[in-house]
Amino acid sequence: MFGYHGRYLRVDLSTCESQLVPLGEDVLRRFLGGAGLGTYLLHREAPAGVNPLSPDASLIFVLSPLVGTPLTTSAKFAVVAKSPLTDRLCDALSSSYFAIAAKRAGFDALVIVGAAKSPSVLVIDDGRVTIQPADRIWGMSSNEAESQLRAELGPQFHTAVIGPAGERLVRYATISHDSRHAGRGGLGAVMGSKHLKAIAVAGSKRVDLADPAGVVAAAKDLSARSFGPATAKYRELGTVANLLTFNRFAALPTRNFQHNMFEAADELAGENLMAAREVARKSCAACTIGCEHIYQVNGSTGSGQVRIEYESLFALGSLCGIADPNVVLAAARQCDELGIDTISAGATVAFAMECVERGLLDAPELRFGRGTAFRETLDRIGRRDGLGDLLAEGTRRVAEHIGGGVAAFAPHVKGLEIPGYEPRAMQTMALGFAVGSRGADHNRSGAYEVDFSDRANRLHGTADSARLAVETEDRAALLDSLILCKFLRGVFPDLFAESAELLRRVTGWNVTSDELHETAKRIVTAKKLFNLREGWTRGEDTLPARFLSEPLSLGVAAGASLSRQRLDEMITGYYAARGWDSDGTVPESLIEDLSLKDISELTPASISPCP
Amino acid sequence: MKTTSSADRDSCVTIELYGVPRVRAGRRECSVSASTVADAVRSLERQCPELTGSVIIDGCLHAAYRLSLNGERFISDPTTPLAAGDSLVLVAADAGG
Repeated sequence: MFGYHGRYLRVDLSTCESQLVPLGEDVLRRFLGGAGLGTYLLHREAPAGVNPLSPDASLIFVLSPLVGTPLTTSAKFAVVAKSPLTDRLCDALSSSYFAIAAKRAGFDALVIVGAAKSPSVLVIDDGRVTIQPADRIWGMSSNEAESQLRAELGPQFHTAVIGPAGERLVRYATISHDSRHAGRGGLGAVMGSKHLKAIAVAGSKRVDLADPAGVVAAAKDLSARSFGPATAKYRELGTVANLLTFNRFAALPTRNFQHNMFEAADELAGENLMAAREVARKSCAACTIGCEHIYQVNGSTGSGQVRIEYESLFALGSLCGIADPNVVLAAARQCDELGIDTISAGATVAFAMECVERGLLDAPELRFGRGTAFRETLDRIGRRDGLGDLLAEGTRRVAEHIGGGVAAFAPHVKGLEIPGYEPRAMQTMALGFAVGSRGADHNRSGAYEVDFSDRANRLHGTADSARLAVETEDRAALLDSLILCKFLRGVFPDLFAESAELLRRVTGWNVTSDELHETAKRIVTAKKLFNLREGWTRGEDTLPARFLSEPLSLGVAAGASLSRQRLDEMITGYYAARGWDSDGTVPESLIEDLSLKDISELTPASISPCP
Repeated sequence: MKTTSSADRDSCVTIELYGVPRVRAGRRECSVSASTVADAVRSLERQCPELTGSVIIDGCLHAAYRLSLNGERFISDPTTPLAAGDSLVLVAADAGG
């Protein structure tokens, strides 16, 4: 077998036992790796109806055939589990040397089940598994814990850790590594529920490649293209460039989506942050793009440096009415240290601010634009202190707690807080949010590309744009399973054909573009099947009532609205484009056509270890 | 008999720069005389040579960038006519974050 080890490591923290479980070529070719293989494994490993924070829940780290190759941006991994925030499938991706070290440890995925009795570190040294006490690092920030572990174990080890928020089961806690995060959906809480502070991996096992010279040639070609105009945005300015652009297009979520423009957007603009505060630019492991822009934090909010992306900038900035870049940058650093998802944190606090201003929540200082109260609240969330204990549950549960109709303006889909795209001003993206398997999601749907083109009217979505939204989902499913960074997507004239060629060189499989199109559809539908198994209903594919009843008031989008009827028509068009039934369920014939018949028969009882 | 030159037909159009084009050009906007989008892009290149080779290649906008007419609709046809007072908003095509 080329490109893979052909097995996964399964560790039961309750019994301290581990085993290697075979992965056949049939499964690997159907699901590739990353999000795809993780979805397959979650079907197999997670008992139906499992509480995501119970010992029975599975936490799965998945590598890919490209990890360890010289292909740029390939040092990525997916973490897959049932989300404690959404109770649906969650796959969070990230990039770091952790991916390379894990693959060299000798497996294609790591499945963790059970729960340790006390704070622990899972150490995997070239395949040798030990579970060690973690009392000395329990309570540390993500960065502190990583530094401490590498100092103790040696620089050959790379770690994935949780911060204080994960320990306290904040439902949007992250898993951190090399200062990056598998951020969305609260997988850090799943890790915390297992009393697992960290995973440390090191290894020396390499997989063979079918055509090593061909892979090197492809890597050189891809690297050369990665320096071109298609990635200039990320390299030269970073995703923070979005903020001012979205404000111009009246699509910048502001004050809990009450407004679609922010009067202080210039103060937070990426263009201005770069000029005034950028101190460094960094790259992920094995990446030639270098999208990480590091900024200086100044003033009374503390000093230091922090990396910030658009999603954090909007969520901790305009969404909460915060205009002071020092506050936003300091808040981003605070979230990193606590180990919480900046989008969910910002959105939950913004929702709370609106509740306070409407007299529905008793926290007088927590109002839009008040930086001190904002940062204190973030800290309380990370430590589940006072009001923070409630807000640590995420917007959906907070809305249920407050009651009285506040769910209408709780900014989430399926429990996952909405990223920085105003749905009424980007209506193909609104569809992408509504139908997303992990909730409101800008990483699994790239429908914003459709809105930012002449292929659709972004202020008036139609069922016709559903097909275009599906295409962006399929591209994302492929990239998330290969795995390659989405920031590379602009360099591929034909992503599916080029991906097939890369896979041929790595695995030796005679893969075609058509096969990968089907693979992408299989992966998206497999995610849907998991959610169906966990109780998905048609009613969850929607947006909060605010987005379907209040027209926008500002800028070029003033007057734009999205009715429930129009959204439903788009959703129906989406189901049709996917080949699903009109009620959003998956017909047996499609399950058969996509070779997914076995997936519903998988159970933990069917697992047999390598001989 | 009075003839109308191309310059007479051109309209005064603003091109707003966002993201990389703004950083590279070192300015927020340009005023150009143009009757079509293609004219406007050529004029922009003359005023902002820093965009040549990255944002504008062979006189055309690179596929990594988009133009919106007045922020209301994205346009890709270079023959799209422009009227006096129009704004072209130049942004990265990739809105991903």
